[in-house]
Amino acid sequence: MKKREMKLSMVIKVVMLVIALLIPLLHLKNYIMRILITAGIYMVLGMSLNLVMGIGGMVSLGQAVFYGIGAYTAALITLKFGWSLWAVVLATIVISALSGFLLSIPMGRGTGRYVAIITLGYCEIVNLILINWESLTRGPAGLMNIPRPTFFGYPLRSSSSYYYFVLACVLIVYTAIGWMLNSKLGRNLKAMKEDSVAAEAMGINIFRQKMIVFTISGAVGGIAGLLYAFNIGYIDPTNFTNVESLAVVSIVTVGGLGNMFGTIIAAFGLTVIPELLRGFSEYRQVIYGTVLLVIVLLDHSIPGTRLKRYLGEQMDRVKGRFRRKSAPMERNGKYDSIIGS
Amino acid sequence: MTALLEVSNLQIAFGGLVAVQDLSFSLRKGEVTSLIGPNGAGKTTVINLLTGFYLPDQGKVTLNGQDITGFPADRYAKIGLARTFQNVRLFSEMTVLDNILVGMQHLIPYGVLQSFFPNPAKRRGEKDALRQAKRILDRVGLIDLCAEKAGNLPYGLQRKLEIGRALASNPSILLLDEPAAGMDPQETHELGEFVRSLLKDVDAILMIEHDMKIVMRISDQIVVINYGKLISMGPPAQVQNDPVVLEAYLGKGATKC
Repeated sequence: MKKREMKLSMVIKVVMLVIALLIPLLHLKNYIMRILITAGIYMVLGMSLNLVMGIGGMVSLGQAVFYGIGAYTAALITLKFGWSLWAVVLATIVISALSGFLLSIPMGRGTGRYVAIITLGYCEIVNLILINWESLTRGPAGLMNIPRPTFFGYPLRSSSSYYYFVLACVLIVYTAIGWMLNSKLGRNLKAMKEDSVAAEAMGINIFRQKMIVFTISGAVGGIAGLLYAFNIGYIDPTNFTNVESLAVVSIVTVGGLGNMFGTIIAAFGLTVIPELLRGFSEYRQVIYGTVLLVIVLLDHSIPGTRLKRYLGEQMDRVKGRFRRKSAPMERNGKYDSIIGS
Repeated sequence: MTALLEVSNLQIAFGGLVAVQDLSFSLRKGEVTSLIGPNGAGKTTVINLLTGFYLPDQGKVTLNGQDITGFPADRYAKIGLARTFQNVRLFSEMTVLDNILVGMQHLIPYGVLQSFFPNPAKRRGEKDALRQAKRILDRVGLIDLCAEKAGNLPYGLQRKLEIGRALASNPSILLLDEPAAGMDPQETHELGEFVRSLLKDVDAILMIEHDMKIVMRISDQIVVINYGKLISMGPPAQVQNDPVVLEAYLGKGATKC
């Protein structure tokens, strides 16, 4: 990426962060805060799926499984043992990471549709367990009255305080994934996605990489589940079916595979758009579906590609007028240190 | 001249087709060995057997006297066997530098959890890796293109990058599958010199190549196979005049050309 683009994207991110931090000061209606919190939860869940789909290159159709396991773990531990927030967070991460690890085992070295089918089935199985293990999960009745946690003695009862908690989780997950992508693990995962044969020849154990990526994805998805459980205070198995999985797939697809920032934008857009469409009552789903279709077509169809190329050319022409000379290829810091020294 | 890698009685069949049959040869320290043979002779299959992509039905491969037969493919990079592919297989959406860094990934010491946050082990590991990558990029002449996407490089440079990526894993043996494929005579000539010069970096090289000029010029030993069987082996001058080889390439009754 070129330096100028990097700077621009940095500026955009900082501006967005500042806006996000200031929103609670506007004292918006509880309804709007609730939508924003939901968007934040989907951002975390979307990023967990994008790890598998965008970075690992495997289609997972059962991401709701980690969402559900995370939510139930957090709710049950809080209700039964009353542990503190940090202990609950830690336990949720461990349990949902473990469920991701278990999911990766039957996959072996299989890719593509096998992974899709296995994840789909896994989600169904876990959902059935949630429904039928009544002594633990109370079955279809769900778990009620899950109390909001306390953060260093400060109860996260108001929607703005919970909003900040969710925002912090989004930021931490986004930053940690960013660091990971620029490390050995990130490079190995990208290599595995691009050419698993060549990656193996470079000493990368494909099975191990898959275990790692599903374990991390499980942990992150579990955090999203925890945020969901504490947000509403009520969960039941219908919240975590494959319908939910597909909603997350569309978030990741719209945001762009492998693009975590895109996932954040898409999670926001796809949560807010249906709410804006409430006025259209029964036509809501139709409009929502059309919007989804148009976004995907713009990205993946031939006319869409042409349109984008045309717009890009026009942009370049406009930019060209403002630029005296085309700048030499600029590089980011990592490459400067190599060429410069 | 001790044998570094010893291949003995290697054999594999795909269904009824015996692709490699009772093949034995060895790679010696400081030598370039070329593996040649007509199309479909089983040359690439041999490299796939040596790097764990196929499991041999019979036979044994030893490295420095240790049995390394049938390891999983990802283990060979760690014990010092690095390969390139007949049809270049780069990580084409990644940068040239990142391709090299993937090549040396098993030499970067920090762990999975340390990838997620800044810490001294990660910083040190990445810094050392970057310095090492710079040396390799210098070696293959791609230092100025390090920020370019690998897929954007011209074909000849992609081949060089692939060799660089293999070198990055710090191998003792380099296995090159048709490094000169698709190159013009000038490029091929330069590549020959380059491959020979790689003996400064690695202990031994096994090269599959169709271009006889470079094979004859840079090899210390040539192994000729046909229909998966060894038909001739020895220094270039000897193999060149072997009637069995001429027959395999040109048909019966051919004389030296």
